[in-house]
Amino acid sequence: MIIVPAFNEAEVVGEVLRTLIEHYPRVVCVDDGSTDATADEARLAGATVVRHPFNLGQGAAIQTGIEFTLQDPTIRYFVTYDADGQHRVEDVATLLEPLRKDAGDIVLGSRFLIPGTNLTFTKRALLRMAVLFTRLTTGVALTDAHNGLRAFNRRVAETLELEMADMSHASEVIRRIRDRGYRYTEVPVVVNYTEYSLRKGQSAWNAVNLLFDLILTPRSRR
Amino acid sequence: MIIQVVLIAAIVAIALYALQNRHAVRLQAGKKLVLLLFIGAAAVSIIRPGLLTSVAHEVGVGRGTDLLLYLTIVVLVFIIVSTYLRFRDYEARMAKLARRLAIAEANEARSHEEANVRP
Repeated sequence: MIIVPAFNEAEVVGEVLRTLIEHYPRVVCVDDGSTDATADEARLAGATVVRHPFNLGQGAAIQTGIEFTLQDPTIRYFVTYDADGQHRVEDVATLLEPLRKDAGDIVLGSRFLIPGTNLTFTKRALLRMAVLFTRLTTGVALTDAHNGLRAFNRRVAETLELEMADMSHASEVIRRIRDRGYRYTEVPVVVNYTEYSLRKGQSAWNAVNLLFDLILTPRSRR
Repeated sequence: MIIQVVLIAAIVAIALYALQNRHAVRLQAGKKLVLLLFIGAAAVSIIRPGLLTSVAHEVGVGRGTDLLLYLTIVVLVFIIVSTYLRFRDYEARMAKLARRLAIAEANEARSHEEANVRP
């Protein structure tokens, strides 16, 4: 099942979902309390829509998608996929491969394993710093700490329990990897920085927020 | 002094309100005691302002008003932190509630669709 969290993405979500559904028919779009036509566009595209009554944040939307999907016991793999069109549908297969071979519990997409991502200098530097910081604080060695494209198996889906509602869920995923001892692996993916995704995406300033979240949250709660 | 009368009236009113309020039943005994202590201290410091100053001297603060200011800041920060924590807790609960609702609605919509497909 592909989980697509979306907040006010009516412009692009239909196209993104249609492309996905051509390859993977089971797609759930979690509309995070959008004020535009995101939910209608997603339904038109053929996705199952779960709708938050108000905006809760991307982490909360992913958790909702996971819990909705867990209701179906036949689903074995879970993929998170951003709604803004920055991911390529081809990369989903790359992501699923290690899961199918049971070579890991969670597979994360990385922009830095292959050249070709058109990042600006600041963004690249910030992401590099995030990676270094993550390695220092959690001991989890990744090349890309904040990529929306991930795949995981049922064991992870059942125990992930994302609690940070906002954008810091990426750091939370990494903490869970450490705390719960998931086997993790990275695969190269391409992130398309379109004009739209840049406009909608996180500004570099948000790195400051993420840093504080990472420092201030308790190390381990269980 | 008029100010003493006004302040004491205000404290008594607050105390009565806090203790008589139906919510006060849920207040823990400890909190009630702290409240009574606070009211007592406030009343004494209003009736005998000189006392506060001597207590201030005792702990190495120049004036009674300064001591009051420092204590106020400490209490204020405590309130801010505890309110923040409570809010965060409420937010987490709200997220869980909203999630339950969203999933229940989606399930209902899906079962309706399935019912419509069948003749």
